[in-house]
Amino acid sequence: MKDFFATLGIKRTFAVESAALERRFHLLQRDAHPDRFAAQHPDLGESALERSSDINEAYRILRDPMQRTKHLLSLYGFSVEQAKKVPAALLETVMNVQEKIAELEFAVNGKSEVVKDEMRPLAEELRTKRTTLDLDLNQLRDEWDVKICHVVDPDTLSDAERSILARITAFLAERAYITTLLASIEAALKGESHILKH
Amino acid sequence: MALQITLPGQEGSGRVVGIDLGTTNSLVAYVEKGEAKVIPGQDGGIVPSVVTLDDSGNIVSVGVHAKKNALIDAAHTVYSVKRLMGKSYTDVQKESGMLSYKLAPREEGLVRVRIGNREYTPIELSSFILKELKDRAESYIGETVTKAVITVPAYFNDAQRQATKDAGRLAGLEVLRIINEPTAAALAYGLDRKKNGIVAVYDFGGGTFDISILKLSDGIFEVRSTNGDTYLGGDDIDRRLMELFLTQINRIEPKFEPTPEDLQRIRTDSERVKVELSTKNEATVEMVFAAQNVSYKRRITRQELEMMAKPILERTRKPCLDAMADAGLHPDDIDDVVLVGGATRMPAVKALVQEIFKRKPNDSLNPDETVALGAAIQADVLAGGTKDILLLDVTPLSLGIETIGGMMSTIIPRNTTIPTKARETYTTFADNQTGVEVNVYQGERDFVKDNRHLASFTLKGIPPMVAGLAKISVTFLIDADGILHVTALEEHTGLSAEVEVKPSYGLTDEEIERMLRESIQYAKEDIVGRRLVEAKTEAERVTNATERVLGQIRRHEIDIPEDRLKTLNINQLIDDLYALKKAVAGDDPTEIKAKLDLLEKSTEPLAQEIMNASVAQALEGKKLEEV
Repeated sequence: MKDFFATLGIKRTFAVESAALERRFHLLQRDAHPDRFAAQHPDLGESALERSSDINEAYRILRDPMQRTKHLLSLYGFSVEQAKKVPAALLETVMNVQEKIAELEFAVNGKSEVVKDEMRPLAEELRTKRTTLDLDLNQLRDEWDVKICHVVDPDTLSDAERSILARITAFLAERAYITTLLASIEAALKGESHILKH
Repeated sequence: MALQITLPGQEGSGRVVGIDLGTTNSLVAYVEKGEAKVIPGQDGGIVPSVVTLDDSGNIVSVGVHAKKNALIDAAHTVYSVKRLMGKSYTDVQKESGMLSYKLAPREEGLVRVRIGNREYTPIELSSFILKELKDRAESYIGETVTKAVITVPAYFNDAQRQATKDAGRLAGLEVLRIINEPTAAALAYGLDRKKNGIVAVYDFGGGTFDISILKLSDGIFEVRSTNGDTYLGGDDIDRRLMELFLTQINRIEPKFEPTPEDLQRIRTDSERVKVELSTKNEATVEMVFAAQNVSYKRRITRQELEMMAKPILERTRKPCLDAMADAGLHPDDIDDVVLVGGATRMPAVKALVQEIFKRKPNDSLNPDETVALGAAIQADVLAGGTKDILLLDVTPLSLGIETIGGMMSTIIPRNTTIPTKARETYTTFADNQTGVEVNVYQGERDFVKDNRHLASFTLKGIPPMVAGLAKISVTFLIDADGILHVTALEEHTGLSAEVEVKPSYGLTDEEIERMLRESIQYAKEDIVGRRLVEAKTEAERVTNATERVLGQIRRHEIDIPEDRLKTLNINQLIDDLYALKKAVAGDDPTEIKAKLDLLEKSTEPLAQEIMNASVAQALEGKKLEEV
């Protein structure tokens, strides 16, 4: 597995300052880019091509907060995609939303406004939940960044440290689910689509 | 595609030059004592991208002379060849009626131009222009030039880039780098001003349009996004004017059938009118087709031209908006919008750019020279001269492969910083299958049929095994030239699979090798001798024409008023004529060219006078039609 943090020579933190990352990227490319070797032996150019494209790929992934987060988690064996079953905490809300969307689909004149009014508090509830999740996520990420980011070997993580990553993964999956649900509600309220995407 | 043949190493480092190989004009520049400069010549070093060939395939002339030749021998004179790069006959067929040279109809592959009994690829024709630029650079610098940086439109696809690189090789140049024209322009712009910030380069040339958005920070030129249209330029506006003039001439004289020379004449006048209307509000065309006894005169206003050009100019809007969206930027985020390319001289273009980017564009750069100067700077960087500059460019088009149902599966998305690579794994569908065919495309559409087919390649030599067991890992690498390289590896055996690449609209390596062999043999036959023959042929053509005209004046066959005749300085002209004849008797091609240039200069006022006289004569024959 590629370690893009190592490619750019930076610590494995969730938070990365974008200006600093860009400076790092430029610094590395100044030495690695094939342009530096154009006048020299072709073999040097070949390895520069490899190194330079690795740096480009690493920068492309790490500059994007979501891709960076997923990459960091994957270095320790966690995958947000695989965690995407309906989170238990959301099960009830999900069923309520689906019910309302179905009701809206079959609502006859006048009734649909009533259903829509019942949906709005659900959306509100989801938004609040997402805000709470974001706060929790920030706290967990900070904890990792400050205390644990130097641990490179996944096998040497303590259980407590491992659970931080596990929770981040679960919260991110939940957050993604909420976002999808909210989009479905928005669409239903606008009358664009009555079919829940999930 | 990815097939590099190593040429026998040319000894001596030589100078690295930067070349702007344009649709209408080309330039060569280099860095001397830390400063980029265009190699001078007639017209400030601008070499029209025009080539004249004779029936047996000899180059008669390139540049200014060829452009003049187009008016007398259109079928042997090729222009705008850049528009044919990487194209098939079908791609360009619809406008072949407006060309004064012939295209060879072919079902597939790269389009070819037919002159006499021979056919030429756009790659060969471009190499003749590059060779001329190389020669000019060599005689100006006084050193051999073997290495170059050549610019291409940012939106050129893989085939067009490879074609340009191949043209360089055929011209005897090792192409150290293919760089994008707007990026080159940004380099010349940024270096001059030591600027940091976000810059948009709006590059509207003779045949192509590019928009690139870059971030400049302390010598790093990082392209954020690029977009464009490789088939949109000032040429299209000329063509609109041509269509208008032709329609109106046909209305006057329904039987009018333009010869290639007539078409060329209309083309030249259309271009002239367009250029004039950038600074004037009104221009006039006046054309006489003596053989068919037709004359045509028309006044045209800037407003009329702008109305005709509007649909063409409007096509630059969407690429600009898309480039901003891809870079995640709004007009407010952009610090400066720089104009490059001859067509940006049009006031209507400036107004449109101002409307799109909500700011007055920067038109302080020389739209003709900037790209060549940028190429020269990059050449210096590659030669190791300048160390604090680095270009980080992107691939303009998404690269993908065909998957089930004719869908495009993107492997490398557009605007990815290059060099870049991606890996895909393939397997077999049948037991003991030993080959897999892969089709590579470039473009943004969902179905491959709407995108550009770059090449197909076959993975061969897969060891026989049960279906689905083979794992062939294919690496797609886009290098710093924006050119694709493909390598493959069968993972079980560790054997590298054979990758056989057949470019759809280019030349195979065998073809290039053959052409190179032929050109090297040809070169051995004596370069100086060839240049001498060329110079003598051209000189004889001009001396004959001059003597004929002088005779006609003496016999009063051409009527030039006495007072006008005095201003023409005929004595100087005759001196120059004899100087040229003396040079032709010798065997120094440089001397002949120098004397030829002198004579051409001194015949210019006379040529103008004759043109006026013949117009006047013809007009007496036919009533002027003011439209």
